[in-house]
Parts: sequence; structure tokens; C-alpha cells
Amino acid sequence: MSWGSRKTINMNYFPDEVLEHVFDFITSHKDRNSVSLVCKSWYKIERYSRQRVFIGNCYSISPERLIARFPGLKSLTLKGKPHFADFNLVPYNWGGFVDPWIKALAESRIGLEELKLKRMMVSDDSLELLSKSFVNFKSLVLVSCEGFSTDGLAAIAANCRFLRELDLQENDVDDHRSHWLSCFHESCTSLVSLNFACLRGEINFVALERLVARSPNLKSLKLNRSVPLDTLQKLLIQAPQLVDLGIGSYVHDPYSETYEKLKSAIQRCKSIRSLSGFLEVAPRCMSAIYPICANLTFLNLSYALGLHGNELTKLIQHCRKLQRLWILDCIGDKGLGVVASTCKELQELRVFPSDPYGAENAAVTEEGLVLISAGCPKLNSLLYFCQQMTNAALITVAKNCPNFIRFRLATFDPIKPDPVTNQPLDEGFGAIVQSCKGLKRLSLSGLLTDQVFLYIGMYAEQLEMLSIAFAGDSDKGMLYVLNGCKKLRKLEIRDCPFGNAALLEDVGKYETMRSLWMSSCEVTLGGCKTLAEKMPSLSVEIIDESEQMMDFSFDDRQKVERMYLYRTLVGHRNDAPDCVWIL
Amino acid sequence: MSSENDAGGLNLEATELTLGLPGNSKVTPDGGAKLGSKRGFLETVNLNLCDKDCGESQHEDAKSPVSKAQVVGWPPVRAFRKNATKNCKYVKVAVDGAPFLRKVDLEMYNTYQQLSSSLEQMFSCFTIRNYLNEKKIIDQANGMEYVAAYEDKDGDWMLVGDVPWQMFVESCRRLRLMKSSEAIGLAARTTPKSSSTT
Repeated sequence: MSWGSRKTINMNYFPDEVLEHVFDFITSHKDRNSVSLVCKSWYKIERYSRQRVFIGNCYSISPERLIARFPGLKSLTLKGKPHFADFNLVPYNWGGFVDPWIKALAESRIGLEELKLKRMMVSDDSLELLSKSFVNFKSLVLVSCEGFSTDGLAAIAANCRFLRELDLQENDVDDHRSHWLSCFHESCTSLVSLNFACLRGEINFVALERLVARSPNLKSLKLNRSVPLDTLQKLLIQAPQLVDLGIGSYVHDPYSETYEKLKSAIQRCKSIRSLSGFLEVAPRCMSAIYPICANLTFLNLSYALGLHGNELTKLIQHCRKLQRLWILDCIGDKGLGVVASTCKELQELRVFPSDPYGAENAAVTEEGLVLISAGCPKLNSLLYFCQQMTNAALITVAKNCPNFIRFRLATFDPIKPDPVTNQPLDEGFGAIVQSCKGLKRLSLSGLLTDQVFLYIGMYAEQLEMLSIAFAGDSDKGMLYVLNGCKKLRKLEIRDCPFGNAALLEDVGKYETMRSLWMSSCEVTLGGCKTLAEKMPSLSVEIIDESEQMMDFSFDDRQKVERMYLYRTLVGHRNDAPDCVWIL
Repeated sequence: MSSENDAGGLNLEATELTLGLPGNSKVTPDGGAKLGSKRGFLETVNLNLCDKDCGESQHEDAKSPVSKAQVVGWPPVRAFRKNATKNCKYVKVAVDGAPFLRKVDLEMYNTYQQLSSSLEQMFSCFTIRNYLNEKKIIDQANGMEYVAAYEDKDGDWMLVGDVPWQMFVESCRRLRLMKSSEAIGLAARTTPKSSSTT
């Protein structure tokens, strides 16, 4: 529909309330952002009616400006550290502190109800402040955060009377043995989702049982390793309405009464569509799970180290409706063949390494991926850690699965060529970007030359995020990408021979992107300084933990260890540690 | 544990790199990056364990040097996930007076000696006396003595080095290099712990 067309009725003849009502139906962030740019009056109406805000880089805007623009804010998502922080490439204290956000929100009149944080530093104090400042607070989701302990969780449990969701995903939480589960009030009956799978310590089983018993709306429950089987069985009896279950410990004696009780409890859980956990699992005990497999759409066995071989494949053979599967590479190529012939609805596959450093014996190869692509034409999202990959395989995969939105490959040897032809994997990845016209996210691996970047620049028109490691021959590689990928938002590069010429060719490009990360490349301090000078709307950070940072004894000709730059509306942050130099 | 020629036959001994992240000026790689050539994968290989003597060790009981040659941050698996899978145990390391924390994977090492060499390289202003079971670390600049301590599963701070290595790995939650003066009163665990803590 053309907003500017003279044939349409001028929407501004309608009172604001009507427009506001129309905007209610526009929920995606992108669309609402577009709406706000149409004209001043739409901007005004949109900002007063906006309830959900997503901030992809917490340093791109300040809490004060957020609060000023969106007084009706109810739900906030914030992301902190750059993605490569996941792989230990960012210092622990780099930044991403949520504290100033919570303080500012607490002092305002914002009625915050939902907070979702990813890769942020969270303190117990800020959790306590959060829990006490917002009467209607309903949902806290923390993903890959750290800096807090179970004391902070105790505050949330104790003070958030109407809490619906407490979802902790892969956080590094200090265990202070706080009995946080017992801190939920007896009158708190509103829980819909509780996920504490990432907690390392013990919890109070009785408190958990009572909490679940008084939460009739509980749909999602994910337990940590400490929760034994007989507690699980009791919980399932109380909550047969569960849709999403994460099992903690699954170790038992198959001849015990507990196991029998578990079997009948599971059979009553007819709504479970999503299963994960098995943080501890005894082999040969999975048959109790089979009754719920038929309806599963999401199965996450990526932490189930104790499951392999036949046990694993037999389980999967019961899961015909699976749409998303997260698995360890001990499944092997043959096991992936079983997946391919069973899971015809599969859309997302993630295969993680069972040995964190990539053992040669346990891995999967290109064969498994080819089998999957042949059997699962709906596949659109892939994360695949493998021992090797070939161009032929990638070309076949590209032909079989043209619908990829996310394609991430990691070979254990990051510069491994095609083992059959000894060639780089340029042609294979080229086929992927050419065939998958909707590709938004791509991670490359293996021996790669500038050629692959030529292909990416030429074909990957929808690409928003690109991760590159140990690839390319010259600045041309990076330039192909910067010039070609018009929708690029995040670019992260490590150990590539890209230098100042590539970095500085089109400095305006970075204003159209969220961020650029370059580590162990050829860019020098001088190049970064030039960039920072030309683009005041960017924050250019140099991250370096060597003694030279302490002495400021840097030479412009020196290569920078790590550079992270991002666009920002609020200038340089003031919370950077000593190892970060903002130019 | 496997030999130095792991990771696809690369000659890692020749590069003898430290723990420092790539680009660290202390690194002097053998095959330096020529103009226009790809930044060497070799340059970033991280020999976590090789202390300077391992190449020509004459001591029979010198600990076997390298268990695995690693590239920092590769394969790209989240630290949380690495910790959950076998053979990986990341703990935070803090040094009194240093403005940053690091994380080390205890499973990468076989002995206290290897751990202390690695710590020396990481917090470069200290040097370690090269004796087996030496628990003290001396700061060359100001002669301050540092002692390595760890927080165990029960939350108590213990001196590093008093229990068998595997038991230490099992129970260590975090490490701290603290000034000797502050370490007074830390229990060296010899027999069953007393219930009183400092």
C-alpha cells in the first residue's frame, strides 16, 4: 500500500485514537520504527503508544532518552557485549552493565513489566532494585549474563508478586545457597515459565514442589542438574499441563518404583511439545520418554552427554513431528541419516561438538549434512560443527535446501580445505549464498580466499550478520562484503588479513550498521584513529590487555589487537575499563 | 597426552607462543605475516602448557608438556557450553591489583607447575620461580610476594597446591593471586577440614 499515493485517503483526517488503534496491530519493531518516520504526527502517536522496545546495543542510546521518548514502555530488551564475547575474546569487565538502566527506569514513572537481557553484566543489587521498583513486573529473561548470584534471584522471587516468567538461559550464576526458591510467596500463583537449568547448585526440592503445585498456569519448567528423578515425577503429577519441559537429572534404576511412577506421570503429560535437559542421564532408560516423543516439535539434547548410539537414534525415531533439533556430534553421520528419514518437518538443526576442542573421532562430516539436506527440505536454520566439509556437499545442500535463513558452519580446523580436492571452500559457500536468497545470517569456516567474499557481495542481498575467521587474502575480501551487502548490520571478523584500506574505504557504511568487530587483523591504530576522526557518530573502541595500554606507549603503525566499533546517538560511554581505549 | 605435533601436523614447537591473545606485542611468531599474506593461523595457536624448558627437557620427571594446542576461541562454542561438556572447567582468575579478570580452563593442565606457568604468562608483571610445587609468585618490579589461593566447593578459600591435582580441579571454583600478607590465616588443607573458617 502506498502511503504517499494521492488516491488514498489522508490518514491524518482521523483522530489520534484511531491511528493509535491501527498502530496496535503493528507489532514488529522494524515496522513500528518505520511508522515513526512517516511524519511528525505519526511519530508522536507511535511513541506514546509503544510498549515494547528492542535495543540491540545498550551503548547506542541512553536510558534517559529511552524513557523520554517512550513513556508507555512496558517491555525492554537490551543486549550488551559483542557476540565474540561468547568465545572469550572480550575481557570480563568490558562493559554492558544493566545497573544504570534499572536505576533510571526505577526513578522514572515507567511501569516496566518485562526485561530481557543478553550478554549483560547484572548485579544482585540491580536485581533487587528491579524487584522492588515495578509493581507489575512480570517477566525476567536473562541470556548469557553474569555478575549475579542466587541472592539476586531470591530478591526477584520475594518481591515480584505477579511474576509470570523467570527464564535463565546459560548464565554464569554464583551459587550462594540462598534458598531462593523458598522466597516465592505462598500467594504467588502466577508463574507460567520457570527455567533454572543453568544453576549449578542445589535447590530446595520441597519448595519447588509446592511452587509448582500452586502454579496452575505453569507451561514451561526447566530444571537444573540437582533435581533428581523422584522430584521430577512428583512435579509432573502436579503439572500435567506442561508444554515445555527441561529434565535435570535422569538417572534411575529401571526396576524401581520411582521409575514406574515416572512412566505413568509422563503419560499424563499430553501437552509437552518441547523437551530439553537430561543434564545427567543413565543409558538404557529413555523408553519412559517415548510416549511424549510423537508430539514433540523441539528437542534439545545438546547437554545430554550421557546419551549416544542406539539410545539416541531410537529416541529420535519416535519424534516424527520435530521442527527443531539441537544435538551433540556423537550422533554421527549415520545418526543424522536417521534424523533425515524421520524428521520430515525439520526446520532448524544445531549440531554441537561433544568435545569442546573438537575431537576427530566423535565428529560429524559433510556426509551427515548432505543426508539431512536430502531428507529435510524445510530446513532453514543450521549450526553445524564438523570435522570437515567439501564443496560438493555444500553445493548439494544449497540445491536441496534453498530456504536457509541462518547458515553457520564451523570446522574444527578453521582453515581446513576440501579434503577431497584440497581446494578452498569458496565454491561451496558461493553456492549457498546464490541459492538461498533469503539468507540473513552466515558464518564461514574452512580454507577460504577472497573469492568467497566476491560471491557473498554479489549474491547475499538479504544478509544481516556475517562472521568470518581465518579467511581471505587481502583487503578486497572485506571490500566485496562492505560494498555488496546492503542490508548488513553486524560484521565480525577475526584473524583475517584485512587492513586500513578496507576499513577506511567507505566510512559512511558503518552508520548503516549496528557494529563491526575486527580482531587480529591488519588494521593499525592510525587507521582506527582516522576512522574515529571522520565519523563522530561512531564509537571506536580499542581493546588491549597488554602493558602498553597501561603506559599509553602505542605507535600509530601498530596493529590493534581488537577493535569494536558501533554507531551511537549518545557519544562515548564512560564506564569502560582500563583495557578499553575509546578513540 | 598428545604430542606437540597435534592440530594437523603443524610445527607448533617452532612458534612457541604464549597465552597472550593474538596481536600481543610479546609474541614473535616464526613465519611472520608477510604483506598481503593471510594472517597466519599458526600465529594464534595457543600453546597453553609449554613452559620454556619443555623443548629440551632432560628431566625424566618433568611433566609431559602439551596436552592440546588450541586456538583461542575456536571452535566457537560458548564458554558456558564448554564448561558443561566434558574435559572443560573454566574458572575465573583474579589478581590483587590487576584491573582485569581472566578465565582459565583447568582441564587444560596436568600439574600445578603447568598452571603456574600459564598464570605467569597471563598476568605478565609477575614471574614464577621455576620450582616444582613452589607456591609463591614474585612480582619482579616491587618484590611483592603473591600467593595463589582458590575458593573450593564449600566456599572456603584454600591455598593452591596442598591437595592432589585432580582433587583440586574437581573442587576449585575460582582462583585468586593474593598478596602474601593477606593470605595469613588461609587454611592449608591437610586432613578433614575444621568447620571454622577465616
